[in-house]
Amino acid sequence: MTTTRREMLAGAAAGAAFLGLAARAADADDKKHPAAPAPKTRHPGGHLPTTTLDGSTLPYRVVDGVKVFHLIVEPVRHEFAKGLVGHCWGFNGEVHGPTIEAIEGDRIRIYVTNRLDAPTSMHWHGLFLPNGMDGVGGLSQRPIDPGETFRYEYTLKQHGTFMYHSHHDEMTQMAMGLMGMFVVHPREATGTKVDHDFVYMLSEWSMDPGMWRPNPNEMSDFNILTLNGKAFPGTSPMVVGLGDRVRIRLGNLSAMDHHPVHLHGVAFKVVATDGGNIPEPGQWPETTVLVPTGSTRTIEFIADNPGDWAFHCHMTHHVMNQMGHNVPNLLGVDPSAFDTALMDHVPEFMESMDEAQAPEAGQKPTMGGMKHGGGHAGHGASAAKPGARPKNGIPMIGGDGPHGYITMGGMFTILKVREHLESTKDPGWYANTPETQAKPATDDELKRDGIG
Amino acid sequence: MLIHHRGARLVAFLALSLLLASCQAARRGPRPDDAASIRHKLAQRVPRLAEDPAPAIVAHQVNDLLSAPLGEATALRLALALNPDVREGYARLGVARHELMQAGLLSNPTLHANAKLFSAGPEIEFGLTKPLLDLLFVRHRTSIAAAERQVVEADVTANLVELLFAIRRRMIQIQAARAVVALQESGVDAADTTSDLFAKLQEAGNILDQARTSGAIAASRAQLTLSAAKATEAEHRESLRRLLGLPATAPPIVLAEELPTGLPKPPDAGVVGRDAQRSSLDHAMMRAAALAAQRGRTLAGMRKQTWLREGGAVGKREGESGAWGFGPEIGIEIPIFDTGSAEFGRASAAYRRACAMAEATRLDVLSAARRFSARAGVAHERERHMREEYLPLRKRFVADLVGRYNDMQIGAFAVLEAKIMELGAQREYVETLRDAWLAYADINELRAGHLNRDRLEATDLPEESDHPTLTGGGH
Ligand SMILES: [Cu+2]
Repeated sequence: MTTTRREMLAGAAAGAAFLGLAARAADADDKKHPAAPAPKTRHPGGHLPTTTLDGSTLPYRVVDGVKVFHLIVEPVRHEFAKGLVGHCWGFNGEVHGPTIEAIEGDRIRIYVTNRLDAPTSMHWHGLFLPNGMDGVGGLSQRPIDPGETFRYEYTLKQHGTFMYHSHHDEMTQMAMGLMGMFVVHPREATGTKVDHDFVYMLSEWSMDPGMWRPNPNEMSDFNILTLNGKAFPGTSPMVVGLGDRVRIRLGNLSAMDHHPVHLHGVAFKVVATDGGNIPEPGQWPETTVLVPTGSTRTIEFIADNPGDWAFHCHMTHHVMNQMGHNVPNLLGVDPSAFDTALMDHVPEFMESMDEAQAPEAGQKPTMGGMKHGGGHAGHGASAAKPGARPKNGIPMIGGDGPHGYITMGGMFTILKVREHLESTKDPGWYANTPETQAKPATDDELKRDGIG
Repeated sequence: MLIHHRGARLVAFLALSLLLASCQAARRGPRPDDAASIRHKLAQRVPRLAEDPAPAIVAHQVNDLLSAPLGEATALRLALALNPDVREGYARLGVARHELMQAGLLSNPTLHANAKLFSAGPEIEFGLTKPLLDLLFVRHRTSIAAAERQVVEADVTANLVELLFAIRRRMIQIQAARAVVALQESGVDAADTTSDLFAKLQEAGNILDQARTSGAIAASRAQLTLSAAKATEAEHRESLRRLLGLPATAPPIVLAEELPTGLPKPPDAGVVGRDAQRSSLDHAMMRAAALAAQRGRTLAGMRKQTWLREGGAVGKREGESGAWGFGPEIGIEIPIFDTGSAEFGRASAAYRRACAMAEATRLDVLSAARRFSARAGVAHERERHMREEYLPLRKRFVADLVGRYNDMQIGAFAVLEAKIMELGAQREYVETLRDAWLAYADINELRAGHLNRDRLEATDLPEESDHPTLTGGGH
């Protein structure tokens, strides 16, 4: 859970005095992500189990040599970030579904129980399997009716990063969240051994503040962009040690968008797609990988640069939360004139301000001029008013960082590279040494370098 | 200025006393005693209006009365003293009263005399004669004049009732028009503000010229609507001044009250019907006219059968003997050309006509009671619906948009536009409330005895129509 902005400010006053900035921030972040993943043990074949941050891996049992999984399709009350809940559809109580993880050559049996009040079917995206197991409603099978359980069974003939998703009434059911990642490790260890194997599903949603059900009918105006179903500041950081080899598997099942995912601080190579591994000579260094919808991309790098590094989609509107796309462009004008106009003519506006959290007003940074003026109640504030419904919304832009407000939301998280790592628990903010920290130039510096 | 009229002082007193009741009623709607008491008091006073001592209202008294905010009682007091139409009514009462007196008087006898100068001596003849018909029919003539006086009294009383309710309606309309103007002024302010904001954005290069122009169009349109509202208010104010008969030098009217909001439930149509029928001055007037016609027919019948025209005494002095002789004299009409049948037939037809008109009026009154009651019922329900349901929804919509604005999902323009739409809804409410009070005035006027045929045929019934918004749209 995240602390409120007001609590963070109070913590700064008390904590900075003796613990220092990093410690205070770490404490705050500790509350944010209390459930750190347990240390992983390697598979006998040498493979490291994957980590689905903010999600989970689907458990299985072995029956007569077959790995048996059970997916339950059901409505899920899902929290995108603290303060923003959606009545979505998911699997086994989660959005998105847990990551299915198995080994190449495994015989797997997946039971899919439909607890929706709509028929569905399940497709195993990218896997080579018998046609009758492909899960396309109406084509490969009849839909799974509400209350029914279907059995899918096949042998994994390949390894790589794949996905699963509903293939019935796709527009609606995928917009509601019916998707998950599917990782198949190679039977024999090939390629590099990694120290971390992160899995991300990229997806997008349409839900305005005050609503709680995603709108599947939306075609272009998506306003919640998620990594594993979470929007920053709801996303957990990736925590790795300095020099660790890191793999990140990215899958994209967004309705209408591809995502150029950018990682700061290092260069990586794209080593695989859902079509298979890319031969070494075909890999080239990159800092941004475009993940088209309906595809997976796997990148690998060595975390050789300590610090807190941004990891995000580079489409700027994809790192916004519930951005209002119908607000006028207020750049170049005094935005307070608009608040004043409402104060003069709309008594309801004054009432809403009385009930909003006055101490927060005006403290957030202006969003490219979109921030309304001084007295504005602010995005996400409780604008209680006559006939108001309970609010369900989060700030357009992320949360607190070590140096102020991080003006990103949505598909944003942080790769935390640390010299000394005792666990994958969030280590708090990285403390740069003074000489490596950007700060206001001194007069002497300016004079020395001839800067007017 | 000096107004002299014999009835004005009493009328002023009368007006004050009856208005003590009716003004309360204007605020709270029809009370059972409102209409009935107006009718009753007027009916008692009106027959005596023509005889009252001369009063005078001078200019400074008019100014004094207008210096304080004007209530209905003072308005009626002014109207009864100043309105020339009212004075015309008083004069008609005077005419009717003297016609009645005239009908009771006998015609004077005539003395004839002549002398003829013969050589034997002058012959002198004289006679005293008097027409006999008035003597025979004076009772009938008086009763006809009395019925005709009743007609005039009922008519004048009805005119006074009509005047009172005309004043009440004007005051309601002025109150409503003033409220509309105030709302419209808020609308103009909001539209101007919106236009200014559009201008700022356009100057910053953030919106197209056409968006700025559309804001200006909306503001311009709001000004037009405001000027129309002001014109309406001025019309009603002038109409009230005319009803009060105010001189040109009188100061502007300032009303005492806002349009009241506490609209009671209208009386049951059956109650209105009974009250209206019982107190109908229109019907009373028609019945009095029928009575006069009936008596006229009786008189015509008697005339037809009465040939005797004159009677008297004559005396004569013979020239030769100088002896005097006296004797009676009579005159008899010989009905060989005019038998009196035509006159009797006309009188009979006039009577039948008067009876038919009285019955038609009775039906009109009952029908009006049902129509006015139905209108008042609809108006009452519309007022309640708008106040309890429609307006709160409009307000809530604005509040919802404020929430969206606070969530930075929409801009200030959408909120301002919704506010302007809400002002339009408030205007619609004021007009609905006004129409309801007017409908109640119709009912009360009918129950006070006057059938207002103009209002009966009024077509300004509530309609389902798109109300013009204050901005006329635009963005
Ligand atoms: Cu993106």
